[in-house]
Amino acid sequence: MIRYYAWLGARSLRRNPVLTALMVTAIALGIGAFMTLYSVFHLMSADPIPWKSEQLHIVRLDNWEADGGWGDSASGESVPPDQLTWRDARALMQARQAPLQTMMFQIALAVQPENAAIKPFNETGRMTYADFFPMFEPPFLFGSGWDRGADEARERVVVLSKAVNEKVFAGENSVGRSIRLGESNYRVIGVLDSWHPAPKYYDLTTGGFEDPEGFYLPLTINDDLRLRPNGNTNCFKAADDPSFDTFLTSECVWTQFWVQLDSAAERERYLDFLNAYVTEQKALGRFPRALGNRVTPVLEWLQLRKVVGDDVPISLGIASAFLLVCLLNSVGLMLAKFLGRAGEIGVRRALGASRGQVFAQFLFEAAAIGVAGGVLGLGVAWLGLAGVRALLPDSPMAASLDPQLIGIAVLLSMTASVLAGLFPTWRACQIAPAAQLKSN
Amino acid sequence: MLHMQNLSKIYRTQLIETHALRDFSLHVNAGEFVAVTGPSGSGKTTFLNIAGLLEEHSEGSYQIDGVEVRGLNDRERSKLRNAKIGFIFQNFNLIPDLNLFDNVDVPLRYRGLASAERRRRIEQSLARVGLSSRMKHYPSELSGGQQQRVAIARALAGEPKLLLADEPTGNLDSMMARAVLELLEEINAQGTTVIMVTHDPELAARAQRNVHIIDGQLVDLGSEPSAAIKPAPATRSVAIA
Amino acid sequence: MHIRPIFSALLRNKVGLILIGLQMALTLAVVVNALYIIQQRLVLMNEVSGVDEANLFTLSSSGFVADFDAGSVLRDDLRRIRETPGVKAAFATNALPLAGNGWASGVENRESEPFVTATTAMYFADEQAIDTYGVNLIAGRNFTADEISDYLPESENVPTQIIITEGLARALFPTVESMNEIVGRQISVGDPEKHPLAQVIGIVERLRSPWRGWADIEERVTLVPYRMLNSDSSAYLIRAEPGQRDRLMREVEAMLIASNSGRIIRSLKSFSDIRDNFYRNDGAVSILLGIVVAALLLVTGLGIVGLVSFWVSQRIKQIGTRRALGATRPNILGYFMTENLIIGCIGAISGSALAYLLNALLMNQFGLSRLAWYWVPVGALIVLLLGQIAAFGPARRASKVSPAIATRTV
Repeated sequence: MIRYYAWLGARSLRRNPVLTALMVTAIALGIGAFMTLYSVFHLMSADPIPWKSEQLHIVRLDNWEADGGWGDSASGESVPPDQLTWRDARALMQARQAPLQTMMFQIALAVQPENAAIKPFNETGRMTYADFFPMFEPPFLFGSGWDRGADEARERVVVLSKAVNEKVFAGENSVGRSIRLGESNYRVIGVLDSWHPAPKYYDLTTGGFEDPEGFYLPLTINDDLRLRPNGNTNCFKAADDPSFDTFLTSECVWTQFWVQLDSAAERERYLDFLNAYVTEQKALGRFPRALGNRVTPVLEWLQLRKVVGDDVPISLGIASAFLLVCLLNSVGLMLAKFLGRAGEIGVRRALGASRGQVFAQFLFEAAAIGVAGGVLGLGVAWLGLAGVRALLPDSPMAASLDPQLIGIAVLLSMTASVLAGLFPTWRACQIAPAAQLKSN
Repeated sequence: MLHMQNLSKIYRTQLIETHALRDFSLHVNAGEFVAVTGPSGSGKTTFLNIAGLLEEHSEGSYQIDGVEVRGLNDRERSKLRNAKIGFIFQNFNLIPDLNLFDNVDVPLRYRGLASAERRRRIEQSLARVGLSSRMKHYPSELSGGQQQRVAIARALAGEPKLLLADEPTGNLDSMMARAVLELLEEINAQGTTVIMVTHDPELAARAQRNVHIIDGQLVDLGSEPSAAIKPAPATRSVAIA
Repeated sequence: MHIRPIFSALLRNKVGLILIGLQMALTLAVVVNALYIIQQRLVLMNEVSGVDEANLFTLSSSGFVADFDAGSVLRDDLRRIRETPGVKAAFATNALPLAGNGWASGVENRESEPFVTATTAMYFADEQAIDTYGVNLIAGRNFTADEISDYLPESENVPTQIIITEGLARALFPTVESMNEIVGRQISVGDPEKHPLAQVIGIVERLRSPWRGWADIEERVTLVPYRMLNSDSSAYLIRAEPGQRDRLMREVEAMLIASNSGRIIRSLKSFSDIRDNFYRNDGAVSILLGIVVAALLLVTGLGIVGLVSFWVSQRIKQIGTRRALGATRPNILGYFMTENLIIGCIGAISGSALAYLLNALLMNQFGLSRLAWYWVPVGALIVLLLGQIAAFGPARRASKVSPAIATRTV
């Protein structure tokens, strides 16, 4: 029976090519626009580390001034700063209350390749602890990260990104070799493979979708290097003096702190620990505000920080409304098409087709239109994404149609078309056979 | 009232030329009740269309109520039709989405009458056909006979000089048909010229005058029923004792 | 023109009304808001930064050798740059308008009761800064060469003279009318307990801060008389004579690279590049939404053509009957145009309500501002017009239906 319906459907669509073309085009445009923006939205709001996004948490302490909080949330309560002070971060590291933990911040150093033919260049890097690698799981091409012992010993080791390794060592296995960053030499201990977490959830201070760093160094060596951070630094009061040591003990926030906690119970426990720590610090005259510590998992954090921004959701919303209009359009055109064949329906019913059979025939036709519209819509979406890439050339997100999105598009189109076809089909079935057979 | 002289209507396609009416002449005086009969394909419908100004004739002359139709443009014909002619169709042709009041209203609107005048005429018309109580009802709620009576009311509301009826009882049972015919006779008695196209010989016999169209040409059977068209003998009931 | 019976007939057959009306309503709501968003973005993109954008370019120097003498390199660089023919003015700074990153500080006017505070962007400047920016000095004076000091990382750096923008001046001294009266006043920069007050020696007309989405600080900039020696990195802003910019970009870059191999020269860009980058998303959104608006109008228009054609074809008999009863061709055309207009008006009214609802949603969730009064009426008119134009073709075909249809029995 399905093949019969398919044959009938194809014939009917061919008989009125203009109407068919209109219907398919309308659905294609709607699906295309929607899928273009949905792909971008999907990429930007995807879980960057789905297998453990519930376990990784960012830690925030409210050390801000008494008169006014760092910010206000939508519900009006005050929000703690998204970074910690140096002294608090170091204290939390030393307390070792989480199975995996790291503090970190971004720096910039000049990379000076030994090969004189390659000119020195500036690169952003990250100072962090050994736990960074098991926590955020960047993939390694060669070697590995350093261990906690290296942190203790302040070893001059470095993990390079794939890009920096390409540039300096022509992509070879550079583990064990030496590289000069800034004023010191470092031994390469690992090289990462291509890694572009989108968004760059572990540090949003310099932008949500930036490329990750070019190199990673043990944070502990900064005790010797005394480098200032290359990210966001916020202070609510001026330091007593501008020296680096004073900077380290000040209330300025500039370092991120992440922990891995494997259960809700652990999270509770860790929060209790934080509260106890802050209470202790209050006795020293710090933390004038009420307790406002937060341990926030990845997805909640991304949502709070509105990483996706406004532009994409707005555009997606408008594309959705457009799709809705296209579907309404389809309802109308299908109604026109189906009711215009009242005579045929009457004959079929008179010849013995049940209501259900007529229903199936027309619904099948609606689905066929949907599939055609979906396939064409993919073409439109492909064009749309090419356009988005052209408009935003430096965007690190190369949104493209992966198999999952393609499947969604065709399924959405078919479902939408069938839904749109329900009313017209029902109306078509209501036609009483007798009335159609008499001469009008 | 209606004067057709040497009328012809030719339909031309790329391949063939059809003479729907040829050398057709008919003169109907005011107040007559004429039945037009003929086999299917004879040109009855073409005659009706031309008489009702629904189509233009190819050659010859056609005057209605003293106005020569040839040379009138579409707008003038529409206005003339609206003013002088009332139509009754086999399929009633009531507009299904309008109630009876609004259906009868249609020709009056095109005449541009004021709202109060239209209301008066509509109420009068519907009262005349006996359907005042159903003014707000819709055609689908009425029987065939009632629908045709509304159509008659619609035709009359404009106070036409000529009533053109196309198989007015074709879709009705005999009882309703009789009622409609009586209505037509009544209207004719009051002075309206009635031309009725029909294939029913019994119906034709009731008319004052019969004309017959065969192959696009007119055969005037005069005011006497022909021998071939005789009312059926009355049935006698026999009591069985 | 016969509105009541047309309206009653329409109500009996609501499907067409709903389908077309709903499409028009949605189209109106979406088109009005989308066009509004586009307009807001275009306004944003046309904002003036205050500087001579066409002739400005920037590049950065980052020293990396162990004995890098930031101070002498900076002095040397500036001398070389300023002596290059075609360069109008140049100076070393820490941040640029529209560049996305920079320094901010709280400032306070302690002369009034109560204190007036504001947040300001801070640009390092010297005596050539104002000439380089190309901004107007509307009150007071520029820095002199000997007022510029070195900003060293480990020493106390407290500005005693500053130049501020009019935007900041008005924010800090709301009651003072004339800019000239603000020159000479003292405000505290940073922590008032720690730092002596800074005196306003000059006021410039306008200068943008570096950031996006920080509404209060946009026009509030403070120029501090420091040479940027905070680290071994410094950015130079260079103003070229008209027409010389592109040539000078290559020349100055090559010159600086050649003059010192202990540092990296990077981030060479023209101010146009900075502006394009700053507004890139706005441009993209505008184009995307524009395409959707066009497609929406097209789809709705074609849909109306299709639907009205269909309803006409369903009523051929009725059209014939009306003609038989005396309707002229213009009467029939008018009937369908009127019917479509009624549907259009219903669509326009509900669409207007929908447009305001959508605007409220956008205001709530995304901080869009309220639609000005004329947007919805103009949008409604456009959509109505679209509907009528779309319906005209089918309506005209309807009027061509022959009255002889009425007598046909098939």
